[in-house]
Amino acid sequence: MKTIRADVAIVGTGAGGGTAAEILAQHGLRVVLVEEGPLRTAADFDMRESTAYPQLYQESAARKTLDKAITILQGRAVGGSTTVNWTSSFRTPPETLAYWSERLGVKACSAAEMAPWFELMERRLHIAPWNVPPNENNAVLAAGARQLGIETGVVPRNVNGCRNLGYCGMGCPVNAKQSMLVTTIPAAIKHGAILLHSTHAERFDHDGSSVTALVCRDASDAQITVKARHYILAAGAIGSPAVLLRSGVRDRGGHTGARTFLHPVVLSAAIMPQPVEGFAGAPQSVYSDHFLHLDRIDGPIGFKLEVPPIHPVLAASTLTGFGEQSASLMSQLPNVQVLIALLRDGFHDGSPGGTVRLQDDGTPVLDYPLTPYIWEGARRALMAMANIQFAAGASSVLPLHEDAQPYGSLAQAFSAIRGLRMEPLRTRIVSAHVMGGCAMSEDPSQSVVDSFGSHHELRNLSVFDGSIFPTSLGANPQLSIYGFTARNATRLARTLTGK
Amino acid sequence: MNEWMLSRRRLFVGAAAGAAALALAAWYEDRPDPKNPSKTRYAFLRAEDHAIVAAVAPVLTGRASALAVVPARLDAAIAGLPPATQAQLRQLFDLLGSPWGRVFVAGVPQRWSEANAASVAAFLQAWRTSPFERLRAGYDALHQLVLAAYYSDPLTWSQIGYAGPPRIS
Repeated sequence: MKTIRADVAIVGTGAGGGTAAEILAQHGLRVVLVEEGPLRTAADFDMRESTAYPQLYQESAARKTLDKAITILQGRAVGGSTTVNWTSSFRTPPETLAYWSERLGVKACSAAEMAPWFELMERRLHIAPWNVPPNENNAVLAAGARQLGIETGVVPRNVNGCRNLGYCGMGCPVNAKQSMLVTTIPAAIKHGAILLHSTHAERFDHDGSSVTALVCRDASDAQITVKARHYILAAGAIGSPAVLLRSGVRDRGGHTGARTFLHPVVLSAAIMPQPVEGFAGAPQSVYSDHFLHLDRIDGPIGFKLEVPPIHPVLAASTLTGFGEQSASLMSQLPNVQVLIALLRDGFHDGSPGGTVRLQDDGTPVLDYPLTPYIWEGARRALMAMANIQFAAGASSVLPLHEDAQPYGSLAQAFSAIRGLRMEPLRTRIVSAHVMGGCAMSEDPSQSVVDSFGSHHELRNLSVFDGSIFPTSLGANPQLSIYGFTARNATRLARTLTGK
Repeated sequence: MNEWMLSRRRLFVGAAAGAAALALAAWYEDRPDPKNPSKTRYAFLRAEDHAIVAAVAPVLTGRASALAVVPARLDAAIAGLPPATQAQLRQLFDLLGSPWGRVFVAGVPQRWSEANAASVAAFLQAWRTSPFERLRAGYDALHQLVLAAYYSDPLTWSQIGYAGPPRIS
């Protein structure tokens, strides 16, 4: 058994762990990073799905919710999801921050208070609106929306020297994506941080008031114990609650692992008359928040519109139907355009989110019941997407639902969507954004950590990742995690160094 | 952990015919394995699983070439999944591979190695649209595994107008 001593032990190397590691190491603290996934770099990123998914994703990119109704894309490698995400970098929407502040007892999180931290990380990770023309997949969203008078925006991306290849989801082969893998983690290592990859964080040992050790297993199943002054949990919104649950760490209200949100995504595929080639070019460069702003944030569920990259494996396994329908759609892959609607969950009683539980073998699974409130929005989103696709000139539109077929007109599509049974494993639902499960708030009976990520019960434990968000965000989460972590880690560094 | 078997309580709640079929399948499932079929060169798939995959792959993909492409790639994909997921897939394949499961739950009268495309398609369509969420999940698992396995093979890309990843200079 090996014991490693450090000032700070960090579980996870994604947006939270990576950002925290750099800041703490720069303050002269001795940092140990523990990552369950492997260390893979640009040399390994061959832009093949068959390489990338098993190596870089949780459960080979086939992680599912308990009832199998939602497929979850989450990274599992050094850099976490930042190694494989599609680079979209949005600040936390001001209305989300206001809701947390006014309704959920989170302090110091106004847009004005957070702005300097978002600016800091935007500079650090080269985040700027994409100034290259969108690929056709994104251009269809822009064109259809324009026809309908729906406002769109240009996606800010964390890239430097991007070659517009379109393979962000398989790891950037040219190190243009400013993921944690190529930015904060190397910087932290330069400042003395130690990286233990392929090492699974099993549990914390604790005495009820503080953590005494982090117990890990390396790839050969040998135990490694990390003893530190302070511990940071940044294993993502499924992994972080799982470590706490395995450790028997309780919170007063029993909220550990509860209120986990997904931005449940529904999809609409179109056949366009022109080539789309959604496998090439920056995967996400156009978005629309129009449907987030039609109603109050706690009204009927709003959704953000984006597009996904369209590569053979992901497309074939996500498109609905089999046999002739599948073969016919796949044969037209270069002309396939896909819109996605990310439903903003967690702001309404009808959207309490999911719960992370442990399976018999100690691995986590997310139980996320899909509620009538979500389904109502899913149906509305399928209609909105079909409308935009036909407005952009689609020849046919297939709402991704097992009972749906490609429809040749908007009237046909609307009529069909109105009648679809919105049920698990009929409507295709996916997610790439896991948030919540260790919610922050000043009220310890309603949350797991305080407004700065400090655990309410264990004085030397912080949670710095997407699991602290008390609702979903209504935007792709990476920049929210960077900003909150930058602020919270800076505060922690000052406390630990006394400076 | 018995993901593919309905619990006793849920069985009684379920519609009689489907529930009875599943109960029989569960009963079969619980019996000790008479004789482990000899291991093939696969990590996960057994001989009977291979017959199931060979029967469903061309029907799911709509491509005859799936027969040659899918089994090895599907096997490798399953071997990379977490043990808990593999255990659930084992139950799915064992259910389909048992005569009871095949006939009464999948509705396929012939052995998998002799099943015709029409009865396989009818089975897949029935599970895809089943009132039982577990059966829809079973269909979805087969769909995802088979389609992913097929289109992960670069030799299939010419069928779909995909030239593969770009060369980086």
